[in-house]
Amino acid sequence: MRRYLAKRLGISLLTIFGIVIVVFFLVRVVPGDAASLRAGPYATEERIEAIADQYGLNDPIPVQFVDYMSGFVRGDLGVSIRTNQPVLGELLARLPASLELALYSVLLATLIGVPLGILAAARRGTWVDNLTRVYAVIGSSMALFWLGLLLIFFFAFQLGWFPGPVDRLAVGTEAPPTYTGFYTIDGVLSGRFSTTMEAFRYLALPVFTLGFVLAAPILKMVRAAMIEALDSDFVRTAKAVGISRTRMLYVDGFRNALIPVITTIGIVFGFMLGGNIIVEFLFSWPGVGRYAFDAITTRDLEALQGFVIMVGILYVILNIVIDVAYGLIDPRIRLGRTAST
Amino acid sequence: MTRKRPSRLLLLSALIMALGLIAAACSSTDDTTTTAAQAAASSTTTTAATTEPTETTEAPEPEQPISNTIVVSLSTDINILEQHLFRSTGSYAVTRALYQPLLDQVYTEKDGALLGTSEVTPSEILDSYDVAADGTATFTLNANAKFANGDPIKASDAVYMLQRSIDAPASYIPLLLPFIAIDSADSFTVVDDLTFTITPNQPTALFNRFMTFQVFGPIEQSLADANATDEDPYAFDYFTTNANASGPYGLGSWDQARGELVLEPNTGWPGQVANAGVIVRNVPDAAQRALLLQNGDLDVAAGLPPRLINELKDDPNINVYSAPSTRVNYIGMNATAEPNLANKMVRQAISYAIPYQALIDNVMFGFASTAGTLITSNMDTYQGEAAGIYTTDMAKATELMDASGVGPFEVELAVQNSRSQDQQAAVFIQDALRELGITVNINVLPDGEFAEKQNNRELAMFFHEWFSWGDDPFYQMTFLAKCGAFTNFAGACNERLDEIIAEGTFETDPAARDALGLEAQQLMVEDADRIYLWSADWNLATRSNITGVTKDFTEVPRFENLAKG
Repeated sequence: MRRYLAKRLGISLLTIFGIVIVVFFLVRVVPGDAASLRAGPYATEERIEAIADQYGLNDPIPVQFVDYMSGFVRGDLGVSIRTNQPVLGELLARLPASLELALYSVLLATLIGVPLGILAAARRGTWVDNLTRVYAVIGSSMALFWLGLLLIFFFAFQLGWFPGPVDRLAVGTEAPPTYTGFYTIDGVLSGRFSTTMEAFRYLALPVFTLGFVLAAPILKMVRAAMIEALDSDFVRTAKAVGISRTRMLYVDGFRNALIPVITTIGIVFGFMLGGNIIVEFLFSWPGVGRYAFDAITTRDLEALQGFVIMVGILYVILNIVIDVAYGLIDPRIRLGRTAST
Repeated sequence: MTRKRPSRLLLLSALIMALGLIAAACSSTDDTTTTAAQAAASSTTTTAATTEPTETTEAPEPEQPISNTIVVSLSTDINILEQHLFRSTGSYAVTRALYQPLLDQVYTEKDGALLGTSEVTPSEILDSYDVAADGTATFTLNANAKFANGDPIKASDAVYMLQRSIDAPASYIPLLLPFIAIDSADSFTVVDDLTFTITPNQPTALFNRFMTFQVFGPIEQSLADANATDEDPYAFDYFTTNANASGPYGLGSWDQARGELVLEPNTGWPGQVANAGVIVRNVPDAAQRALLLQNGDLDVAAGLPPRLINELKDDPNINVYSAPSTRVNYIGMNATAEPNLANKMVRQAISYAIPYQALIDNVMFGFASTAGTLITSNMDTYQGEAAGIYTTDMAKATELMDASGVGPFEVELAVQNSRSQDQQAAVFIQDALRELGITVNINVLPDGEFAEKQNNRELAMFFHEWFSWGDDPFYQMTFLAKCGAFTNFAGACNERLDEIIAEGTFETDPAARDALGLEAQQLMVEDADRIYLWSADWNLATRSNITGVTKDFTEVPRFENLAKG
């Protein structure tokens, strides 16, 4: 297992290095004069030139690359044009909000998708199966912003069951002391249970928006993997020797279907880390997605570059976690090299 | 038996989730910790509509005590607090609350709003203000005026701020100073602890107006010096995220990640703050901002597009404040990007083809007036009729187009992604120009890309809104029409217009300014380098119990007079 992990980590470091190189050069290729953007619309040519010199923007690209890499290994992702603040600090301040939203959304999507997928596979061809497939189609084709708007309009503004989309907490509510950055957990850890409940209230609609849509691919994958598992020889044998249906479904069937399911959940989670920009914008959710949205609209390339690199690194970490999970679920994977020799 | 297990699992999962959501929906937030501003407010009130926005439907309104903390949402986030750096609209509103300019306007009340007049008066931090015949202005500070940290505001602080605004390399203020004939930090002199002078090179029409701008609010020199470094001798980095206010509010807290900033009344400010504090929240989507205002989660919503303003005006719980503005909304026509636009008759034909009134009625929902030229209908020296400003006349348009000798052509019209009203107007214009044989391709661009292409003069036709602080026609034309000006995005150049701008900027005689203004308008009509679409009104929407809405020269939202009735 140690060798397996070491190998994965080595590959991951190379991948991160590759991401940084690609992002660095992509940002330089994108048209845009960072110095004039930083100087603002009323800046003189002299001021723009001074900024370009100050930030090394007039240096040759290889020199800029070496500077950037030396900054990167020291945790320096540059300074945001929009806020004049270090990008890394701004991203880290916003990351917990996005992670909290992502985790609860994936949890909800899994809680919906996995049972429904198993149910559909177990009752293949019945009305139950057809109904879940209808849901899968609706979930896959539903636009996030549209569902979000509907939920906000009906549940926040018409029925008043949930708060309007202002933030992670009510306006003026002080955030709990930071332990994890997750308000739902930090509220409990600091003894402020009302803050935890409030955080759940504010999470409910964005989580449901994302969870409803993201459950669809999980459902489809669970169903397909379960059908394949249930049709396999070992399940038929298990059935023949009188093993109970419950055991067949959850032990023999589901465990063998787990690998593709975990992959799908991993992809969904990865998508959440980088792709929930629309939901964060819609719900005024102060996460990295909204930060990226602001960076895109204002052409804050340093901030955008930092965001892409951070999401890339999170993807790599996520892949390591998934790889480790594969190894734990199916020992043949981590022992693959030994078995082949 | 076994066939039912999956259903039970499903039901159990659904039940847990439903219970969780119901628990969250029904949970109370009564004992939620509040910020300092709300704590301050709670001396007179406790249950704030601002802290329990979702319970407004359940709350018995007449018995409900009212918090006097105002919750405001602006059109952008707050990115920078440094008053000498260019920043977001939201930041300007906050820095106006933090930094007190030397002068203020005299206000008159109209339809419940305080509207600034062109008359100025010493602001709360001044005792007196005099201007000598040679233009030298003498300011005497109010001895009771203090920064938020309790230190008195001294003449040396005001002079430090003025010197910093001109000497700091990062400051954008040197762009403004030529309009008041100041080109050196030597123009500022400390006379004694409370008195200082500004000596411009000559008297100017704009001096008084400029002194009402927030960028001329005192900064405590000792604090700046303490936070200065060799690379940053004026402590811009420090003041980017910190402030020691000289204005009506001090900085209570600022959670940049959450986009929430709390302003607390500055007890050292000699004026009267009508509320217990202000919470500024960033709600990026305008439609959500409007709904949150209707729901009572916000007290004030700024930056709403005309469509939403039009919807809100019929809501009995909302007051919509609207007043004519001097902003100008136009379409620039850049001949270098589209050679057919180099033909003056083509530009004139286009100007005649535009359905101006339809745009004001259907796109701006009546919240706009005639622009005419860069000197708009609400601006000093406007004489649209005498200048012969364009009105819709398809016959003249066709005639000019035929006379121009230019055949049918295609042109790109660039629109900002964030400006829905421009996108709607683009469709009207596309339709109108089709009749002239001009095929308009509407290109909606992200704001950043739009700005960059506009700066690089790559856009053939583009929407642009401009608002000049100070309501001055010559100041406005300097930026938009002067040959070679960075913000003259249409790239047009008329040497006579340049002469008029130069003359009018320093002209103090109203009749002479009128004459110069008229000639400028005639030139702009003749040149037709831009399509002057409309002059958008200033709008602000509040809950109906909010009073003290104020509009000044800068149209930046003012907070100190806002109160809950």
